[in-house]
Amino acid sequence: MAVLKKRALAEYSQVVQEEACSKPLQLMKKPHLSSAVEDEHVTVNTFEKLETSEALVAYLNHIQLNLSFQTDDKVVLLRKLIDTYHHSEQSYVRLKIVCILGDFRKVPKFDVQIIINEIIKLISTETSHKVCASMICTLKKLGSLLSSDSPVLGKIIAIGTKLLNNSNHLVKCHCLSLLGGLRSLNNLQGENVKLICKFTKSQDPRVRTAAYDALLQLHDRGQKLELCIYSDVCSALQDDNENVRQSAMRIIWVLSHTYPESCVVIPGCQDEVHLVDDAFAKICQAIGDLSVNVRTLAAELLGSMVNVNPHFLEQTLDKKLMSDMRRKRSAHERHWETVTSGEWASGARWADDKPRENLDAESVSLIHSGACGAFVHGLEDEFMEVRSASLDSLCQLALSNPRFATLSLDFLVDMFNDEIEEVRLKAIDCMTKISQLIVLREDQLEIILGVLEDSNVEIREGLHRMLGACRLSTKACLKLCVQALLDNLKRYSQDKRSIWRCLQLLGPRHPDLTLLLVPELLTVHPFFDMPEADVEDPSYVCVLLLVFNAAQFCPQILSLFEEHIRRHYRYLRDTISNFVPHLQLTGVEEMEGQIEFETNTNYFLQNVMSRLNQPISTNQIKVWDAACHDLIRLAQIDSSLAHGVELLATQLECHILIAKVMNSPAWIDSSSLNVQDGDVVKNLIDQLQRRSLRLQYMFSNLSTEEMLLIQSTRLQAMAIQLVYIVRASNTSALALSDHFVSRVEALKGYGNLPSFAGAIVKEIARVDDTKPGVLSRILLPILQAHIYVAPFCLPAKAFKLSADILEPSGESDNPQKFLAGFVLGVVLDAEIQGLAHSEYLRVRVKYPDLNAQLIIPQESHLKMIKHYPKNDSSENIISVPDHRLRTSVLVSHQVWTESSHIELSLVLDVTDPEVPSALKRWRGFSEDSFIIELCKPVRVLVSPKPIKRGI
Amino acid sequence: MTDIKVTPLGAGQDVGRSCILLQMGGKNIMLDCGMHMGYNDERRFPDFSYIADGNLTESLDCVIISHFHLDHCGALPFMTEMVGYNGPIYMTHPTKAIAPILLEDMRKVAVERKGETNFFTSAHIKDCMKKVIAVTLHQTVQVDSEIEIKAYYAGHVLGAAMFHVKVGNQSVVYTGDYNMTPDRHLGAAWIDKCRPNILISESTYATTIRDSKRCRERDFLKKVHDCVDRGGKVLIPVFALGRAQELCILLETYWERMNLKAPIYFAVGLTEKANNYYKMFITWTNQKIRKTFVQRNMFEFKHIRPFDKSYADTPGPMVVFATPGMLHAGLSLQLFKKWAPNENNMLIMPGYCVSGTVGAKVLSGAKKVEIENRQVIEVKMSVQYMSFSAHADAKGIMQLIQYCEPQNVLLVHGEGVKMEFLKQKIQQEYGIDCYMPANGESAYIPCKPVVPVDVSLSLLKKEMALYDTVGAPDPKRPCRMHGVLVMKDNVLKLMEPEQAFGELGLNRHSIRFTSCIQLRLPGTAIRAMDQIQLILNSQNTNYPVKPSDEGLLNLESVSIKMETTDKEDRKSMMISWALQDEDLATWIMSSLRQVIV
Repeated sequence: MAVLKKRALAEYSQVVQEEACSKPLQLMKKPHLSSAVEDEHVTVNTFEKLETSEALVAYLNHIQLNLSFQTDDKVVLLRKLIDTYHHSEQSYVRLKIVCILGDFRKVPKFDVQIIINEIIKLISTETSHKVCASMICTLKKLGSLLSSDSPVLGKIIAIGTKLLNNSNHLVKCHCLSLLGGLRSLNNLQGENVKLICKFTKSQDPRVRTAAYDALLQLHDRGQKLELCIYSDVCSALQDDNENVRQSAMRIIWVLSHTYPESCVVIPGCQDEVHLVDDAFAKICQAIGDLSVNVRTLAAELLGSMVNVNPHFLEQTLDKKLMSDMRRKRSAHERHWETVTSGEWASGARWADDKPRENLDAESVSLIHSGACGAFVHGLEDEFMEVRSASLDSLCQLALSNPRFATLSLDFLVDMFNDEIEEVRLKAIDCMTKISQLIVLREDQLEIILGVLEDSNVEIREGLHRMLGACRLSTKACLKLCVQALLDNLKRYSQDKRSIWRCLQLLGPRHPDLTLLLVPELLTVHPFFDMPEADVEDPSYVCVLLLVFNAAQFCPQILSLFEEHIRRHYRYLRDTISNFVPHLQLTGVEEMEGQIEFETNTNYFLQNVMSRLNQPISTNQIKVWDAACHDLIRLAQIDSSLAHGVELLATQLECHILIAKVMNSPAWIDSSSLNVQDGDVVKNLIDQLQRRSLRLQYMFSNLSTEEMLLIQSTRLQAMAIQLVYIVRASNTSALALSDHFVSRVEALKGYGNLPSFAGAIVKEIARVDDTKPGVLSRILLPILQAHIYVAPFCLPAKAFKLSADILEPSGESDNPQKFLAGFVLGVVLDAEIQGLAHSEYLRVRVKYPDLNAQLIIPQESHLKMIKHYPKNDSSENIISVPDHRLRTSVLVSHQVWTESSHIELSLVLDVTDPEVPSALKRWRGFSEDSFIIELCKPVRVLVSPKPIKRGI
Repeated sequence: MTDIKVTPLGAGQDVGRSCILLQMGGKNIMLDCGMHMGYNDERRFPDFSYIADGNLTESLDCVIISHFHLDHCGALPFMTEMVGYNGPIYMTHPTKAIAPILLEDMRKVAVERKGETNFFTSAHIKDCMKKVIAVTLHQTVQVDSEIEIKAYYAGHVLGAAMFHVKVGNQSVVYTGDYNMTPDRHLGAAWIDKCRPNILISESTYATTIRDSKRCRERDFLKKVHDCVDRGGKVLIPVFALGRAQELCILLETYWERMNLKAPIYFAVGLTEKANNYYKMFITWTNQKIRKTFVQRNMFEFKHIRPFDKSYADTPGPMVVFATPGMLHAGLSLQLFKKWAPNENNMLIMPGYCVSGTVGAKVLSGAKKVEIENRQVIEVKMSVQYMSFSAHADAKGIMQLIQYCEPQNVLLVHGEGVKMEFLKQKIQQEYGIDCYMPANGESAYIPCKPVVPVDVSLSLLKKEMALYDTVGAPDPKRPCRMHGVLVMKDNVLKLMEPEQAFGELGLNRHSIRFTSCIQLRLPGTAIRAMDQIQLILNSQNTNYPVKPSDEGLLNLESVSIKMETTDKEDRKSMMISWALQDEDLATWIMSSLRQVIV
């Protein structure tokens, strides 16, 4: 009741009083700017016509945008601008003019010294601080273009030094940045460092920050900062302004890298420590700073201080605990003790963390304990930025210090329980990185394995990767681990592949531990025959994978295999060959044939290559055709050569098509022949385009020569298309020829071009005019000269882009229902190998009515999977990263009468780089000629239901 | 007059019944107004008669409440309605929302269960809350023309705040209870470098440095998870507000992450009401909750449902939060009775238990517990103790002192012995004074008197420009300022001379001194002048000597003139200077004398 009454009063008792409008509204016509501004051919005379300063600024804006296009004499324009500068009273007009003066540096072949001299003249009379600051800024930009011994540079610096005494902070800041960024490295340098150092004492925090930043700039440009500033910079860590603290901390970091070994006296006592250790302690203290930004920076910087004394390093994880003045051990320590004493913590006793020895009140220092507990604090920070930066640093330091790695383990494990997922994921990643250096104890493993139940796929898969890379201490550990993974599989069956991979890596790392577990895992009994397990059961496959992969390095395991396990081995070796290694099983005769076979493929390949590189014969196309067939078959047989061979085959196909087109009489002249022949040629050219695009985008990890060869082939294909369009059709080829020329230009920089590309580059450089007609006249003879020229070689390291859709599997018969016109999210999970251009990746959805949609996957859904060395021998690491796309594809359609299949596939859409924008609407290209399929489409059954009306 | 007087009426070397009187700059401010939970007689409330014969409205300028815990606000209705106080009361919005719920609950327990009389009524609570003025974080509130207060985030519980109180040039920070490590639902306390005269800090954990929170959390979760996995029931007795919410969030997110299905129940009651406020005051929580708020309010629990008494006998695993926290009565005790005999079940005590309660007995390991009406219960369930406390530890307190850089520290809300240690540490490491008055004892903290002077902006700018033009900043170079100090209406002002004369309607007079020295210098007067200029310039670099058109040498306000006398080699040199350049002139004369005379 009371509330109601209150509200009623509140709403109705308001009296709105409008202020009497003192000024009557006025209709005004704004001066029309556009007439002058929009005029395409502005002349410098326009300045006189502009009366208001607004119009002037608008016009200046226009000039600035078109500066590099304008055809007027630049010097005249400059004069005009400076005249205007002198006449204008408004500071913002002058500011604009200074901006434009700065932009003159982008005008090609314009002498910046003229402008510098002009600005130096102007700056002495300028009264506005803002304009002044902007002038200094412009001078800095222009000065950076000068050579370091130019006398003008000296002038600029003199101006900068003089204006340091300006009363405005902005001017001072810009001057400092000028001094920091523009120093020619000569003997004056020391003087300037001193000058800048003086300004770190300025009363304005902004100037102080600028001074420290200038010092940092100097350092970046190779000037060695002097050690004597160290103590001053350290005191700046107590500055009131957080920006100053940040910049000062950066300088301390720089000094610690420059003079790690010099000694610093600790105030209050006579001890000396190395500067790097002292700096480390100082930065550690900043982890308890007031400002988040400072804390984050401190946490970031710590990571790169790897050469710090291990004693200090270990302190960062130590926070002397005490309770009621008595020393207390941390939970980690307590845990460790129970483990080593062979007794498990019951955790049931109250106060079992009872403190032990008494502490001397004098000896406990609460704050100034240097690096003490820095990471403990950093990892417990309120903000995830700090926590995640601390994790990174912790990991980096641990990588360089194995003992520290072992110590940090407990803290990393603790972070698995962070409230923010990104941090949890990062903790797991860090753990994976340092897993080479540590051996997991049983109690630690138990905690880690608990995380396998997490409902987040990313976390689980991260953990699988981590387990695959870690080292376990005992047999019980391994058993625990396998058991947990099997439980995980039972709970989340979609993790199958990830768990298999984990076990595949786990086996070879612990062959001896696995040996001890084999009878238990495979249920082998000395006397009884146990029932044979079902080889289709994923969890049984898990166990087999572990054992098989371990057996590679521990032949004793082989002798334990029973007949049905050998049978299963052969089956799995056939079905999931990339998970099962080759084993030397007696009684399995595959062995000998294998080696023989491998030598055969190499021999065969050499055979094909030599045939290819023979002198050109009359029926060259047939020779190529045959070789192409052979190569394609070869790629299917031998996986170790597949990628390179496939590249070669595709290249060959392109050249076969080129030869075919060139040999057909119809391709330059459509009028004389019948329509049918014309269609054949058109078809061939279309095919050639697709092939050459595949060639260009599907392969990565190539050497420069191989890449240029591919480019040359692609150029040939484009040339053929261009000539064809010019000669045999009546459509405009203007945009196409421009595009072609730009492609040729891009190749210019390389020496040692393949013969075709080389010839083209040479010819194009000779002509000025690039009209299509001229171009085609140049191209035709070159093309004809290069029909059969193609030096083939096998790019051994080439890597082919391929994708594998794991989910949806395409096997489900249950249609996914959704309301027609609304959206259905279909979960798509795919692995992509060798993706070099992730920006072109698309998901294609094909509906039964042949409509196709290309969907750009969200950037965050495409994740790079880092590969950690599989074994200690790091030979077989592929340098191309794997990608994982996990996204939900949005599908929508109108009502269907029954459910039907849609097709999902992954494609590359190279329309953007390949089609010049002027041609986007041209219909000469068929829609999907710039789409490269990466995998077979997967079919998903969906059924859009009509919306039920009137519920 | 410049001393600040602090008198704890409660919480002086003691925990509970926080109530601190602060007297500074002629103003009286009461910080917190709590009650003691341990007493049932008049000792539970602070002794208000101490304050000026109990006439509170006249003698107190304002009351500030730091957070809603009853030991910080429990005596408020008693004070305002029964003793009588009509002045302003300040607290944060969440505190204002939640405090009446707790007060009402306490009143019910005291009046309806224990049958006390002479206790405040529901109407009293309502009337009291009407006098409260709610403040927002970092908002500067002007209490009257002199008192200014500002609230800072304190962690601890939802809506807890530290207050910066300023009277004139003196200021005090009162922390209330605070927490320097973030937890699952609240962030860490934060304060800027406000450099107060006194920092009044709580010191519950004055002698403890705590272990990382993550370990404890992980232990807790693992134990609950294991118990639920083997089909057991978990009982967690909690106090209704604060830690309960933290544990809820912890379990809720864990359930979500691990995809667990076992039900979690929360005993209905005042918690439900309080949860609504937690949902509303999202801005007071930590980064994670604030960020996910756009998608989902973390306090809208998915897995946690209200408890019904019939669920107690349902088979299968479950987790139940039940009040009260010390197992001495109510639902938690009932559930304990039912579940204790089964070894699959588990009891987790998240907080401290007063000795004598069932909770304390169970924690100390008793296998058979006797409860009311002589009933004996066998305890087979596993019993765990998990400390989730939200006070700053010693390191945290030191960190806060480092943050706000006070001139003095005053410790309250802690045990005297422990305070002694911390006091020593503070004096040792920061070199500042530290006080720890007992209840009823006044601490006088001397403050250096500060005389503020207003400087006119134009003067300041002019002098700064002068300072800047001389050269790079140098902390050792003195920066002198020339102005007129005007005292008017008890306010000191530093002005430009022109302005001051203008305002006072006076004509400006300046004093110049002139002195004449006889020198023995050969040559013409002009040559002699050049010579002098050379000498002076060689001896000082800061002030270059400039010759003027009239044949004078000028140096700041000093001017030098040379005249020939009858004798050839004798010249008389006239030096004239204004008062402010007395030093300079003296220096010139002495140096010239040394060289020439």
